[in-house]
Amino acid sequence: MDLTIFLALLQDGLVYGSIYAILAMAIILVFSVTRIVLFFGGELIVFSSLTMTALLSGSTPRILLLLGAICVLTAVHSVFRIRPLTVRGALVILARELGYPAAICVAGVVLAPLRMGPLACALLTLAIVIPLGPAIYRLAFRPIAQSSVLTLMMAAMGAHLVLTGAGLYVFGSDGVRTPAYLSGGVNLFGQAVPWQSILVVVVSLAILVGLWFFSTRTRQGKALRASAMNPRGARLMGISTDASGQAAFALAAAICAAAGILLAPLSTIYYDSGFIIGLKGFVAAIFGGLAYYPTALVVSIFVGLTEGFASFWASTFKEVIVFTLILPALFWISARALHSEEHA
Amino acid sequence: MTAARKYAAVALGCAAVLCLPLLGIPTSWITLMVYIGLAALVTVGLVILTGVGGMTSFAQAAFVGISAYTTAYLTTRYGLSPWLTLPLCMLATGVCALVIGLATVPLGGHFLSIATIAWGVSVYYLFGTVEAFGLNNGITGVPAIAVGGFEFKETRSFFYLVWPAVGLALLASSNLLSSRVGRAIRALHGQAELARACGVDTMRVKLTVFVFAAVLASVSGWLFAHFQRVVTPTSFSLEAGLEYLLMAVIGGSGHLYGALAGSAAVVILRGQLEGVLNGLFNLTGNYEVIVLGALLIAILHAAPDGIWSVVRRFCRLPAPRVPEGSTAPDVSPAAQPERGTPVLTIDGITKRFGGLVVVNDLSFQVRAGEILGLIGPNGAGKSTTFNIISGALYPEHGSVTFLGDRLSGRSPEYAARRGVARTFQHARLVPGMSVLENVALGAHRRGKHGALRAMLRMNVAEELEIFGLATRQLERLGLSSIMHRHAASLSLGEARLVEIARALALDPLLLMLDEPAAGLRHGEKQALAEKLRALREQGITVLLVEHDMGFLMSLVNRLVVLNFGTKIAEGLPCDIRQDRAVQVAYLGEAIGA
Amino acid sequence: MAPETSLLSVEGLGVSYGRTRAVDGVSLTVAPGSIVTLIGANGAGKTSTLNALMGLLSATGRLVLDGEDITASGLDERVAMGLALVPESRDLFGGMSVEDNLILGGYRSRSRRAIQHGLEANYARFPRLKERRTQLAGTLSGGERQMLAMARCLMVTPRVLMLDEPSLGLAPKVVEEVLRLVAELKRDGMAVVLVEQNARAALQIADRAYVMELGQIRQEGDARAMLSDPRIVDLYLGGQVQPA
Repeated sequence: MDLTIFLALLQDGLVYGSIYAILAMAIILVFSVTRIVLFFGGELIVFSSLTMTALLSGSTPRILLLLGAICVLTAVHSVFRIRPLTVRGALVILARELGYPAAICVAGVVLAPLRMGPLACALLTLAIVIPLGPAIYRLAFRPIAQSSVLTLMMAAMGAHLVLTGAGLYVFGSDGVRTPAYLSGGVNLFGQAVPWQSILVVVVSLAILVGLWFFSTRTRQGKALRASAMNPRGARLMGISTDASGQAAFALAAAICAAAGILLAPLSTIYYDSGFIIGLKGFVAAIFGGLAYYPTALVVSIFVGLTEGFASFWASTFKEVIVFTLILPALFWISARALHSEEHA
Repeated sequence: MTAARKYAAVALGCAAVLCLPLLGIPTSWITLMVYIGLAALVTVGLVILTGVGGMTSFAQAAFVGISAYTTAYLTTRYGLSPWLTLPLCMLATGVCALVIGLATVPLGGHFLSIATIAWGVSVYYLFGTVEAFGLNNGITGVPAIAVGGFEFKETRSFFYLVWPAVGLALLASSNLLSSRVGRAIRALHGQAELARACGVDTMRVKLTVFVFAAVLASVSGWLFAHFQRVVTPTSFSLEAGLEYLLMAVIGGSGHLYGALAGSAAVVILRGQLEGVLNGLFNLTGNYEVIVLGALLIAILHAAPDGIWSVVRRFCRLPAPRVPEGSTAPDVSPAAQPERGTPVLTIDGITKRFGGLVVVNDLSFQVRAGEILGLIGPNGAGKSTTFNIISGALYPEHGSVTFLGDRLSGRSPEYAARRGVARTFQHARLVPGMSVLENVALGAHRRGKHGALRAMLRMNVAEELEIFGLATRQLERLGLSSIMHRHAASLSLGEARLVEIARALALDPLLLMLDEPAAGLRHGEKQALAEKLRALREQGITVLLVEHDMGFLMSLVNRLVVLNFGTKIAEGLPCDIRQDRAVQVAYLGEAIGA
Repeated sequence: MAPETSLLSVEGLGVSYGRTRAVDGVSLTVAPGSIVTLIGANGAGKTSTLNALMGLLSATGRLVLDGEDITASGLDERVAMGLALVPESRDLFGGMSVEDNLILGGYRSRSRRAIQHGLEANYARFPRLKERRTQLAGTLSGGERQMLAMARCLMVTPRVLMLDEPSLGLAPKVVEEVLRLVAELKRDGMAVVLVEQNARAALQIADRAYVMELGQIRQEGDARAMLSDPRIVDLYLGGQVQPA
């Protein structure tokens, strides 16, 4: 292998690593606030990619069907939760929960054929994918929010299954790929680095910084951190765990949507590509003990690099390698936990 | 239902099942039943692993796959007979499970489950990437199982391979769960601390269950390979693993038979869905996945934490054979040390939690044949001290010595083995077992027969001995009348006494009671105090932590008073009561005084 | 005291943990601008009572706040209605600064100015917290944590403030400081329900006292009168001693 190939693989690794990094952030964020493992993060990323591609090519994104279906189910579920059940109460809930999705669906249908530029399409994609987060939380997780981590894990697996299955129906089995949003490149260390790659890394960094800023400087962000640190204390301050959960899911959906938008031009995306992407972000998050962001960040880059170099040398085994890496991570975490907790 | 009638019913059920293929039932139904049987083999193991043992595994399908690929490879490449590959598969899978288990089981809790996902996916990808396994096309042309000249190719004949296997699996599981090892397994989920206090090596027991579930899955894998005669990776994906878990979750509401119910429900549902959805839509494939995922979520909503506790509460096994009181073999009790000699020595122990000193340079002794009370206001460090002595916590400084043996820094199992028995603040009993079985758990270290002998029912003599011992402890405390009651149905007073009986079954030299009178009514407290006095007469040494001063004052020989982790007084009850420092500790000091 | 003049009125409160009845038929009234203390030996059910009043535990019985029946309201609603609790475990946000903890204490309030005002008032009341405003809450001393926990609840002035063993784990001098601060709160018109280990000190600053044992109220009355009652000693240290 010579320098050019090495640098190319390095670049590839960094680009994909950035995407795994922001996914890992989303997983850790959601777990620390709600104790739910975001197994379906990959699906959200991929659905966002497919939506972006559809919008760029002028076709109505079929994700609106999924959004509509989930929001309707959630709304019906919410209606049956209120006591006493009145027509007026039901209508209020339906308006509140279906108002925004309906508007977005209309916007999607109207704006799609206009073949807008990448920025406009990206914003519309975000507007479509973000509400999926809180809707899934309300439908699948809110009724069992106080359950054990394992129960939530099984439910998250169930959600992953449902979304993957729905993905096939909604998006079909064809793979898609968009052209890059930015063309051309720049010369770094004698290597041609496309603007597209730089965009991915820069946007990822921006998301990380934004997330940091949000959680340390804004009132809502602090409230979310408080919910993660001490749920009972937060409730006693009037910070509702339900609101925190929905906020966490909304943020995670936003992060995944952004990741999906960035991912779309990088490779061919199929309806089930989300699984493997999700699992890689998951590996990185595990290394952070599902709690510590910096470690997860570093590991994500490492995973991206490993993947890149592994694909050069032992392409067929690269998935196996990545997943077996989780085991030492789990060991290390569990050893650290045992040390601090002792025998009890 | 008496044991005899129960066996008759089971026998009848077996006979009925085995007759099915002979009746004029359509082949498609028989095929369905074969698949149900194959799934049930895996699910029975999973129910014990997850429902009883408390380890949620998402990847049992990987073990099925290891076995299936092993036999497919060996029979196609090397022409071995399937009957030869069966033990090989079980062995290979067992070894894999042991290795993976050693890495995974110590993680505990949700990290254990995450680990199962990790290696489950790894193994799945391995199947698809190893050349010799045929990559994504898998291995084809796997031969059928044959006996003499007859080949089990047809569904109807294969039925007679699968269902006897299921029957044997259920029998082995049932035997395992009602044995000494089984009692330890049943104590794992949620009561691991209790198991350790009875001297159970919980890690070893967990590994045993893990390997057992894997071996059951391997039998299913072997059968599967020789039924389908084609082995591809997709049958062993994470989705397949989730399906087994769903079966265990659905069916877990009863017996081991719940595994059958769950498997039947999911297999039939899947079959129906394929038919219906293929009719409605043109695209095949992932619709069953949506329904299964939604079903999993819906069931979790309906009974989120309840399913496993329901399993444990209703997991009724036939009442164990109980020997008559007088003919029970007498196990000679351990020799008690001479009255008055120091039995337990606490020397300068200090313990910190975070920056806070919870126990501060504490020293005292417990002498043989006395009842010593450890008291103090809330937050004084009594429970921490207790946990340090019993091995649940390690002190930063100082030592705990028991009859010359150092206990500090060693595990709770070690303390239990040395003769220190303890009870818990919240009366921990295994809810799914009877009173007698709970007490028998205390006698765990008296037996030595493992899982294999249990499954083969070769442990009858040992079980009789253990139950004899347990019965005697219950008689000692006047609890014979509630011997066969379910632990979950006891009143608090009865539960506390049963805990003491269980502690006595360890044949202890020191009995440690953690707030035994808490929550009891006045009459129950009197009764408890009398029983404790009687035990003292018999030469047992007792250390107890208590809040109720009235209960203690007339019971104990001496008192040690703690406040802020430090000993502030030690001596006779009447002296302690007048002690000014003790009064201030409990009632506080007026401010500005 | 007639229920109509009370701020908080509790009737027949009951809490069960599985087989155990932790709180059994507890009734008490809290007058506005007064301190009510709940004392008793360990395991008497004092903490469970407070938790049930706050809505952290499900309970039977009837709860009326300022004439409004709040029995059916959940925890979030009770917080919004002005009930506040400083639990035994304090439940601070250890990884966040003192000031952030206080700001979150004012989460309920939408107005920035109100939060600023609340911060200044708390810093005036607890100057030590002002000194440590950027310090992480998890690194504070026991007494400072207690003060922060109280200050947090005071950011948006509650109608009833409940304190669960504020002197727990604190040195006597600090206890004095904390309980004096509690006594001052009464001056600002707040009603306080105080659960305390240090019975004597609690009786000194309270107006009305309830003595609990085994989940029930055994004695109630004027706090100062109870200070000199010898039966209190019996309740805590057991009756006459019999030979072992």
